[in-house]
Amino acid sequence: MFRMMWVLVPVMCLADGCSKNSAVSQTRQAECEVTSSVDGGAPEVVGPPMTALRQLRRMTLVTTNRLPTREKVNALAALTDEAAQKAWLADEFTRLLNDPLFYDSMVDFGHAWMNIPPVANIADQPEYGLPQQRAITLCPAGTLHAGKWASPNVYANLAPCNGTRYDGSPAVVRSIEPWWAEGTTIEVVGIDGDESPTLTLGTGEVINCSQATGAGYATDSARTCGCGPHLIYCLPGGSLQDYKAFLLGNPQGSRRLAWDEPARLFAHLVWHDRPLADLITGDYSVGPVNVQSNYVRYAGNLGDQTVENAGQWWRASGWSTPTDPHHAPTDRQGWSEFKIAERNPFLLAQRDYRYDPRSAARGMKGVPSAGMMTMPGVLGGLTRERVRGARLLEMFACESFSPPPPTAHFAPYVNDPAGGGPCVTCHSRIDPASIHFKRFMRTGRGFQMLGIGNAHEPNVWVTGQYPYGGDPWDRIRRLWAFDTHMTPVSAAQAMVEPEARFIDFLPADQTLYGATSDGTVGPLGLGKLLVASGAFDRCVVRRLHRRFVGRDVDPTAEAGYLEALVAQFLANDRKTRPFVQYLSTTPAFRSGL
Amino acid sequence: MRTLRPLSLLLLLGSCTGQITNSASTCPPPPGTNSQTERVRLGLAPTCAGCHSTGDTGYFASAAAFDSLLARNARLVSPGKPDESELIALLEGRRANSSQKQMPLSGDPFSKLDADGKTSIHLEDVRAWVNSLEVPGVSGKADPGVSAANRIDAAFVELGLRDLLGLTEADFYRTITDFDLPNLEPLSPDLYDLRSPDRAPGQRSYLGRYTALGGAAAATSSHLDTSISTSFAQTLIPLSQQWCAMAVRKPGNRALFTVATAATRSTDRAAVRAQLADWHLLFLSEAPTEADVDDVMNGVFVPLETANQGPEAAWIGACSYFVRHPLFIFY
Repeated sequence: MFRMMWVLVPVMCLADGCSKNSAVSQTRQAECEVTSSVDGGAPEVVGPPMTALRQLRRMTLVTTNRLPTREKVNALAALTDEAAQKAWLADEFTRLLNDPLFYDSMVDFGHAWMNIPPVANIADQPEYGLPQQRAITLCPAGTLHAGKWASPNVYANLAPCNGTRYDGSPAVVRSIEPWWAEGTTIEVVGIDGDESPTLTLGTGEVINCSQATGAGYATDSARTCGCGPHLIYCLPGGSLQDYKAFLLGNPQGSRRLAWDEPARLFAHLVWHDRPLADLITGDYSVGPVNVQSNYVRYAGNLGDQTVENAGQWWRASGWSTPTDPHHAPTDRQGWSEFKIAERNPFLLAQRDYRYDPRSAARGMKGVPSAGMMTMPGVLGGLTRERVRGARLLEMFACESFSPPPPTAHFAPYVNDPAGGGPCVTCHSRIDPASIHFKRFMRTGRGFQMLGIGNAHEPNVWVTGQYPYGGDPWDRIRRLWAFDTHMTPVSAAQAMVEPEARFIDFLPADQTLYGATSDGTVGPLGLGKLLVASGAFDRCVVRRLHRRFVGRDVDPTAEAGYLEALVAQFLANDRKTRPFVQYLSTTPAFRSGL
Repeated sequence: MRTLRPLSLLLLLGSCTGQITNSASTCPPPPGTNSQTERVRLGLAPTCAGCHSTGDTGYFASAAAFDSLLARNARLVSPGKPDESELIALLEGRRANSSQKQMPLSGDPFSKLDADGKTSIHLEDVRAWVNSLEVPGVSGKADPGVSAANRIDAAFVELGLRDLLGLTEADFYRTITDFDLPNLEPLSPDLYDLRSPDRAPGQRSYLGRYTALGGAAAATSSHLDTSISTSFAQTLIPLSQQWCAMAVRKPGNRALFTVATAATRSTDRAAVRAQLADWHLLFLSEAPTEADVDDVMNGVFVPLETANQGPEAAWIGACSYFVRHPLFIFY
């Protein structure tokens, strides 16, 4: 009979949709009766709490995605004294929180929470748009330099492998320590082995080779850069443009690693007891050499080649920063901590950098780094500013954007979705968030930070004249309308300085969740607002409660409980482990099944 | 079998959608609720509830929400001081230093709507309510009416159940090479292999099964869904049968068999009962009673053994029974 009930439980819900006449309705009536006495000091748990064994099961599931082993279950089952069981469970929970499987499950949880898609291809695969290194590969058997390295090009020209340059002169063979394999030396044939960071053309024009090495388009000609210092502009691959770098199923593929970075940073903060606010306000990230190269190449692409040329950042043997539990600190594949500004100087270490393009002369230094919000994989996965703003608010303010009711009254829409029309329902929050992401843009020259470094376009972009007819320029002209919440710039100001439209801080006359910005530009400005307003803490607590206790906390029904949890989270310096340990002691944790 | 906690079951039913059971939203206001507060709530609702019924600003989701999120929110309401209350400033359209200077956000502020006779309550009545408001502290306790029972998600099945049954990746996949990279290919589509789209390698798996079980995966932009959906039930049932069959048939599977073997028949009653008791504890994290073991023995094992003229199907059926048990599915 009881077995039948187990089958029927889901079926009943599916069948009648929890209708008024079902047992659910009766349950809600019972809940109403219980709820009505909350303020009178009602019990916090309905029915008896979970047994110690069931608590063990919940603890193990939520921390490791695994079920308790037979040994653990038997050990706990052998204890009959309640105090002994409680002490055993506390010890076991501490052990679970220090098990590398906990780190792994937090990586999964990070992905589930942030849910950021991988960077999409920008043309035919495998072109995906991050500073994607050109591939060099082994010269095939049968060629003069079989087993040495050179790049195939779009013409599948094997001339370098056969020892000749474009003009018939012999190809040079160089021995180089590549950035991807510290301590080893490979032989590189032809122009690929040229380590010069610049190339001077016959016209006298100097080319920044960091920008000039598109994937797969190397030709051994007079106009071709090499792979740069320690081959930093190139990546070892198996084929033209290197499909392996693009495939998400490749554990070491560049695109996958960039996609993995936000979830890894989250797991890193949890594992190393760092404040979770660092996820959106921190000046550091984590990554193996391959991930760190994205930042280095990003800077080079913007015109600062100092890190690329220094050639030391990839020497993992000298690393000593905290890493993931599966790697040593000196392992180049470890998710090791690094200062973002030390890889990309345009992502500033300064925490309060302000720049108002409406009044300041050109010369913006950069944008402060902001944890996951300035990651190449995040900005490349969410490519438009309003999408970034909306998704970030969903992630870290627990926003749920839904349209207003048809009966709601709105002023006519003029030109500002944050100021009129039904759009205002969502855009009054989306736009004050999105303004911080306006400079991170994918253009024909790759990922840029508009108005920073060498990312200044001729002013003709404002007219749409070729080559400024497509995205993002067309979108900027249409959607970054003057005198709006997201572009608080007058037409007159934009006439004087077209880059004034790139304004990326929240002006003092605007707020987000009741908080006013200190004027910090870029995503860090948003991160500060989310933290200062309390929205971040309330949301993080809800997410952690959902994961570890098994249910969300509805602010409309349990505002006091939520605030109490937030207070506990803050008392623990926004660290996950102590907060989760606190949750495990609450009646709510023990009120499952 | 233990006595089912009736109220827990009811709560389980109540949370059958996997969503928060917002008991307050369907409940009458708590006894003793300030009747003037209730009048203000109902009076403002036609103008405000459209945008303020969910989340941190869901003031009109219920009487309790209005009470806790608005009436007791010192940032918005200063009891006895209407002129210092943000709520009144917003309704009058005079909130300074904010992109949200008024409510409603767009169009005429509430004060103008009131003057035009378009509201259900006068602004003066709201001011009077703030002036007379006395609010005790809000409860910091969890709502006892909300069930914390949660359904296992796809990751728990993929990793937790697989380990529990003594199965490994090698039982489901062969290693192949794609684009010069190692990849995993299912040995057969009938194995019901399960792999998060976020894992690498493994892109040749049928990723829809993970989604059907409600698994979240950033690679496919699918979100966590722990509701008792049709797809969940229709996926877990055959999966449990297949995985249990693989585990029972796996030679020397000590993760599953500690007392008996797949060849042990019900004629060796003590061994079968001991193994079933072990599984009860292992799968459900609950010590079985003699009656529990009898229930599985007589209700599942023996009938399957008889119908199939051998014990293997009986062991598979017993294993599947535990995987589909609510104490396995919920935690």
